[in-house]
Amino acid sequence: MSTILIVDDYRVHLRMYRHILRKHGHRVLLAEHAHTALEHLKAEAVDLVVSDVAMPDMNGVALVKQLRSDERYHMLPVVLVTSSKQEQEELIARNIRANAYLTKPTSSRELIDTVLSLLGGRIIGNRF
Amino acid sequence: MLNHILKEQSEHFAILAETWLALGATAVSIWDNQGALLKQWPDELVEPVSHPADMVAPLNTGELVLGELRIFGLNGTVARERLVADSRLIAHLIRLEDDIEDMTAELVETQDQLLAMYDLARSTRSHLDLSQTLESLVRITTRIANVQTSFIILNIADTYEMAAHPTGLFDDVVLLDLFQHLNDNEQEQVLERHTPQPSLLPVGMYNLCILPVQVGSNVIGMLGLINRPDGFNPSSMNLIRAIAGQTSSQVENVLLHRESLEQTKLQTEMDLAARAQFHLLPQSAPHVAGLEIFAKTIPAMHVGGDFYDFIYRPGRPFIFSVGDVAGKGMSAALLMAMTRTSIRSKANFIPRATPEMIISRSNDDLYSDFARMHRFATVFVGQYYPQERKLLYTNAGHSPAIYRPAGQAAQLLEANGTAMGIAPVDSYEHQTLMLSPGDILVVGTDGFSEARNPDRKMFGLERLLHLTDQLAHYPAHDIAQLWFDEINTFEAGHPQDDDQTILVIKVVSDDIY
Repeated sequence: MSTILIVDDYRVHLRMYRHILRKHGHRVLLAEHAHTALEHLKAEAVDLVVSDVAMPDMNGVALVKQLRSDERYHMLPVVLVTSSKQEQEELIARNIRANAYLTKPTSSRELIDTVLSLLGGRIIGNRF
Repeated sequence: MLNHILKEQSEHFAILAETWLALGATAVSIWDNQGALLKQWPDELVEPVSHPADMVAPLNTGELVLGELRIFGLNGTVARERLVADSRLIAHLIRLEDDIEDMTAELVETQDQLLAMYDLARSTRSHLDLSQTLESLVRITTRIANVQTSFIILNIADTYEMAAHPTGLFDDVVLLDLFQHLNDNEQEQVLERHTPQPSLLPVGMYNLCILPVQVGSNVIGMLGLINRPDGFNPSSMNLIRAIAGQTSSQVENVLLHRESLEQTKLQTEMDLAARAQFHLLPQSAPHVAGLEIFAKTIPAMHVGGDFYDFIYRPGRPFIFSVGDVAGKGMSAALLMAMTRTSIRSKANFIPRATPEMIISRSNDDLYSDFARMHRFATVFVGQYYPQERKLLYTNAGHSPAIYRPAGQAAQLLEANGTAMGIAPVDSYEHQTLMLSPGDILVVGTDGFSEARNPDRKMFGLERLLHLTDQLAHYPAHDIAQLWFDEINTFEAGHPQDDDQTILVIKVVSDDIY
């Protein structure tokens, strides 16, 4: 069982992701803000972060930057969830150091496949 | 569940507990139904309070007891009433949380199904070839329906079209056998190893779901899903039915596209045939001394069975023909080409040919072909000697042929022989007319006399005779054009039923040479 932290300001998404990941046996932590996510990371050992990109105050890109600037989270797998393929391509082009990208709406299979790939060490597009 | 709610609603539970503590309670705790402490307030307490609680209220949803709310250091009627109220509030929260979880599960599943259907539609919409479409459908169906194999078998015009993915797990013969056994039912069917008909399941299949593939209201085949690890439960069937619906609509699109391509091809072929037939007809009338000659044909369909022809060589009489092969469309057009060619060759190559010889020999040539196709052709052949203004003609069952001597009433030239193709041998004869300036000969086809108005009334021969009288002072070209105009007016938008062909010959000059 892995511990996965989900960050999204839309609580419906938080619940949906949690439902999918729990069904596959993962422990899930939820954060409605990037700041809360950072507090969770300090308090608990997290194996993977799934974060929305568009969030108020600190967005998903800023969260990734913050994580990568802290050596404790250099290798922490992060999945960014974008609202469009175009946004995803822009982020890839900007060399945001996320490990994988998903586009909303995300199917259970896509989420699980991506999470399993990263947790299993089969890193999808490690863009460090 | 209780533990989950506690974490989910930790802030609200904390407020509840703080209120109890403010009222004088020394501790507040929540326990699960196994007797394990889940949470205790104040937070400073490290160990569970050892002495019995002063007040205890069960936390339950319906009949199910999930745990207890325990209050220490406080008692009394008011406190007890509050405790009951709090435990009910918590029970309500638990139910709401339960509902939200159920709704979330539904939402996730619905979203997954919508995404799967979108995926299926997107992946197949670019294919217009049937086999590519079927391959694409089964490939995606196997993935999104989470089955070991999916297959489609269609029966289109007694030809089987088939695709399976992945291939090789089940032999095509096995799948076709299933199709033949189960397709007659034309209904959704689920077979499991434990159902009463396990013998229908071939070796290697532990469950099977088949659904009809429909085009319009007709079932033309089936979609089969083999070996779904989770079984074909009601929830998965929603998606599977949606896949079958999408499959049906995609197959229908491809078949419609195929039909439209075939129609376009046929249209092109018909256009070519129409052009070929048009070029079989004389592109202009010959110049024959003392005559105005005009002819025109309008087929009811692309191609038709009517024809006219002119054969005029220096030093020989002018021969013309008008014919009508029974029926319309391509078969009539083929026989028309044969008849016209046969008449032309007889007119050209029989020494001192007369109209009855031309028709009789052509009938000899073509009778067996006409008989085989159950068709016949009416033909009018005329032979005109300009110097004598003498017209010989043979009318093999043709109508209308109208002769209007100058200054007299138009009259029908009745048939003096049966139509070609009716009998193997016919003793045709010819009639002779000595023409004078102002005389008119109009040979039409029954597309004029049998033209109908919207009330289905026919134009008839009487009207044609009367029309010819009225138009007698016009040149040949105008007479022909006014026939067409009059018939168009009569039809009043009613579609043309038959081919319409007219030949008008008008004797115009006394001064021949």
